[in-house]
Amino acid sequence: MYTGPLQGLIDELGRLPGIGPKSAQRIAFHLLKIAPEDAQRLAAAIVTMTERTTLCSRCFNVAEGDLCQFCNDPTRDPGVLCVVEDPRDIVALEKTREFRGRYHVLHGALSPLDGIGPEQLRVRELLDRVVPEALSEIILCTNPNLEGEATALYIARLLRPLGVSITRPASGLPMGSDLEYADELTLARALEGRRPVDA
Amino acid sequence: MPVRSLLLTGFRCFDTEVVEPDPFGLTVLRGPNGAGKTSVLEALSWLATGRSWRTSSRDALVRAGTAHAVLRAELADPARRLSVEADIPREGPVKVRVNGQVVSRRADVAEALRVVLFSPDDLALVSGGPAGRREMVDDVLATRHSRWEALQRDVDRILRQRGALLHQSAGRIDTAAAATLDVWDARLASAGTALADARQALVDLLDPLVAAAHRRIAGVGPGVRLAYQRSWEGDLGDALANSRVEDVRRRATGVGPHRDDVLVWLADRPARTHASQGEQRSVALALRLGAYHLILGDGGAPPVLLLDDVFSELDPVRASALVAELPTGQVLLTTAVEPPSGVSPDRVLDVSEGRIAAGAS
Ligand SMILES: Nc1ncnc2c1ncn2[C@@H]1O[C@H](COP(=O)(O)OP(=O)(O)OP(=O)(O)O)[C@@H](O)[C@H]1O
Ligand SMILES: [Mg+2]
Ligand SMILES: [Zn+2]
Repeated sequence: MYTGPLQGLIDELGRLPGIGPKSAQRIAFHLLKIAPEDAQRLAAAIVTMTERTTLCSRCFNVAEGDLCQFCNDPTRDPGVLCVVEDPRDIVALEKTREFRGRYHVLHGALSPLDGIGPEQLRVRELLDRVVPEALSEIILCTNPNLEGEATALYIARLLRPLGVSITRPASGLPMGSDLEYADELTLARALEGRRPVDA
Repeated sequence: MPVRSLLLTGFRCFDTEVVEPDPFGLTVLRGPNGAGKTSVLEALSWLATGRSWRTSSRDALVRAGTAHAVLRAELADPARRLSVEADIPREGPVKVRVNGQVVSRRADVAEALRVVLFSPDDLALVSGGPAGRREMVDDVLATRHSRWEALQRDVDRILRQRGALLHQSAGRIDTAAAATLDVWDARLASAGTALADARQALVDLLDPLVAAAHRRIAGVGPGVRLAYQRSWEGDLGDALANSRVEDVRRRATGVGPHRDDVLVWLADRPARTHASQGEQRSVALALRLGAYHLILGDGGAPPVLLLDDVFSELDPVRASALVAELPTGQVLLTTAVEPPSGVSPDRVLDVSEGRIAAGAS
């Protein structure tokens, strides 16, 4: 236990994901040694990021301003949408250079054990995009684990009456894994061989 | 692979001890009650299966006053050095390593170390509820192929997700909640049917092996028969739909592989309710021996047989029949009394108050 501002920082750092009390201490003591202007820059970066970064009002990807870079990009195919659980999945998919459409971020997957139902996800907002944007294909790119599969099936059943083509990346994605960690080649192949979903 | 040596650190009553069983024959661990004999078998079984048949509590496994238990088996692989190691903390995740590489699938461990355990608790396989029988079948499936273990995990998680949903619905379900329940039901129907199919196929393979083992232990007489019994008829998806109202009311899933059973008959009567204690014990032994022969038939090194205190419960005729059944591979046997005649150990280890020493045979 330390006192004053030092302990205050250790407590704050310890609340971050993946950082335990030991790492929090190590980071705090490291920051104690760096030049004041470096500390200022780090603090400013955090504040600016939280002030300027919002969620895209259309797809719920991270954005600076009303729309994200993909919704703003006129060269992207407006008729094809890739549905992902997390903004970080978009980074993984972009690396494949395989996909030229736009995205929709659910911000999670169905998991009653974690208290996550459809209302906690951006599902309603997805359905509301289909007709106005005249979408022709929706690729359900949720994680290839139980919750991701259940979410894909749930959404596919809601989308079916809307007459849009619904696909899911083909096998090749290791079952039980996170999209974020899949390698580019596997992901690219999975996207290429996507199949219709039996809803 | 046979076990060349087993290191026990902070496990049960052991501080740091090394056990060196005979790699190719019968090792008898003898000593008074409470000496630590069963704990040695428990350690090997834990390494092979990732759990103990005696307890699910880490507190019981980790030595009082210690934070971690470490188990390490060096295996007698003729081709290379091979070890399986487990770090079991009192709290937090367990790490299992094969040759220093962390593994998470039981089939990866099974390539190095497979065990079949006989314990006095096996009686419950016959006399007890279905959970023990399902577990036995699932255990054999998991060591045979990692896809069955993955399927078991999936079914387990789907059931917990569905259970959470039923709980949240608090006895009433609206259309929106019904749509989510539909999705979990679809998942359960496919995974649950696949698991039941796999178990049924395994039980069909076990049935003749168990019957043959039983004939050898109990002599000619009434035969043993096994059959897998599902908790539903027809399509699991339909069965789930039919039981939905009841499931919502009870907040539990009424049909599925978690409610199935393995029926065991002796002379065409249910062994659970009709067989005598001694008959039940013979049937339980036959179940384990059947599993042993099944695993043996899969090829690879024979599984290590662990016999905990089995002779104390058998009459002399059955005891010597079991001795005759003992395979030629590695066997570890514990006893607090003199083993029956006919048991000729290749090595005797004296266990006393958590210490193990080579004994005179
Ligand atoms: N977590 C623990 N810490 C310390 N000691 C323990 C722990 N768990 C069990 N023990 C002790 O370990 C001893 C050995 O138990 P074990 O069941 O291996 O004995 P055993 O030799 O098989 O005896 P029996 O002949 O009665 O079956 C017992 O005295 C028990 O009280
Ligand atoms: Mg014992
Ligand atoms: Zn956007």
